Amino acid sequence: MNKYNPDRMNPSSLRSRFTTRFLRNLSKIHAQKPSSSSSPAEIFRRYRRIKVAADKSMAYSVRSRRTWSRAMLWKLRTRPCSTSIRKTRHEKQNKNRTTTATTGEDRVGFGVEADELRELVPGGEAMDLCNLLHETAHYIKCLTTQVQVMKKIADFYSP
Amino acid sequence: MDSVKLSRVSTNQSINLSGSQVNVTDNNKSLPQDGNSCSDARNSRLWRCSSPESGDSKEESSISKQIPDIAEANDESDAKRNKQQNGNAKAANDGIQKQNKEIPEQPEPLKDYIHVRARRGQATDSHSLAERVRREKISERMKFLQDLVPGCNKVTGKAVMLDEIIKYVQSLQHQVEFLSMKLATVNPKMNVNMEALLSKDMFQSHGSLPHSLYSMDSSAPAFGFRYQPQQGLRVNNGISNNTEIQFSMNPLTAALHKAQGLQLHPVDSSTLANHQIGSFSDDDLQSLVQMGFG
Repeated sequence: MNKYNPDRMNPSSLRSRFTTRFLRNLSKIHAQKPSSSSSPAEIFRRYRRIKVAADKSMAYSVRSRRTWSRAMLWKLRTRPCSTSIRKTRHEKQNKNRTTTATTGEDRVGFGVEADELRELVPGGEAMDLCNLLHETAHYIKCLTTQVQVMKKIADFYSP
Repeated sequence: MDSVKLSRVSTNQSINLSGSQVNVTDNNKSLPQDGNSCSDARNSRLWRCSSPESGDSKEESSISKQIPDIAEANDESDAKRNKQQNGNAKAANDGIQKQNKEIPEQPEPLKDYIHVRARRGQATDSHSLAERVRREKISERMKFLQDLVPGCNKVTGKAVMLDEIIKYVQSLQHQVEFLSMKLATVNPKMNVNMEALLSKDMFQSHGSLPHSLYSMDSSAPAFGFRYQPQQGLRVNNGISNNTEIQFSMNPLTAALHKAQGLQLHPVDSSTLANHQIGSFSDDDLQSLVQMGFG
């Protein structure tokens, strides 16, 4: 059996951080649910909670080092169903920064696609193209990590 | 000369006013991030300072020592050069300092600064220089993204490249949605010390997995990303066999249909092309089961 574990080698890597957080949240969610509910509404609710947990774990693993994670954290905090909606400094920071900084000059040759990308990447509305590409690269890397980990977990659960 | 503090600035109109001054005290410490600023409209950009302040001041002071030397050595008017240097300096990890063609070779003072020279036959005003640097940055980042997104090596052109990136990000997001849906339906029978089990050797590097998923997409471009529902039904049956819960599709159709197209690939790939994946997970699970229940 292959004991090679990249997470052990680098315990503070993005992958391990995300994994531990996500597993913790997942176990919490599974602990909450009743024994076996087959109603689709219940499943749907759980699905949403798991999705939020995944996003949250990813955003917390990245902390505030990236713009997209800050935007995602702010979005999560000000969700309508969240219990405490308080003015955090993240919110203030985001309010200051959501000045659309795109001029006609910036959109040379990129027009529509850049806007689509802005919609996809959280917090992308306030970035110029150069930063947007930078954030996109990191976002893609985090998304792939997320997908890999979740895939492993799902495979583990359903042999 | 007094200590000229060439702080990182972004070009703005006030530079024209201070053209004749040697003192480059500029207080436009807008702490720009990566990315260039060359005109007024870009001053309101999102800046983020990623380099420590103390480092900056050290570098600036070393620049300032050299600037007077150059100023004396050259016939260029101080105003023009200061305007030039003033107008295009930047912050962040790589500050950019544009210099005119006529400035003689000076020792590269700072590793962080990128010295840009005007190309032959091209305009040398600060705007086009900064524009060129910005374009180079963008193309460099696009190249990096090209390596990140699988199947983009043959694509040339920024527009198509961006389309591919957008598709890839969308597919990743859909995969996350689908996986969370899958996790929601699975009933965790084995709750035995989940974390310990999972962290053991579950995270073998499966770096090729999403890439293989995506490459199958790009290899079958006719299908696109929204796959036909006939294939989707097959996946549904597969999933419902796995889980203990038979769920009706009605409230979940929307989410599932979106994600089906992308999750087809692991089903296909595990059976067809990538045998490693299927066998890998089998090995993992066997070992895990042995450890957990043995």
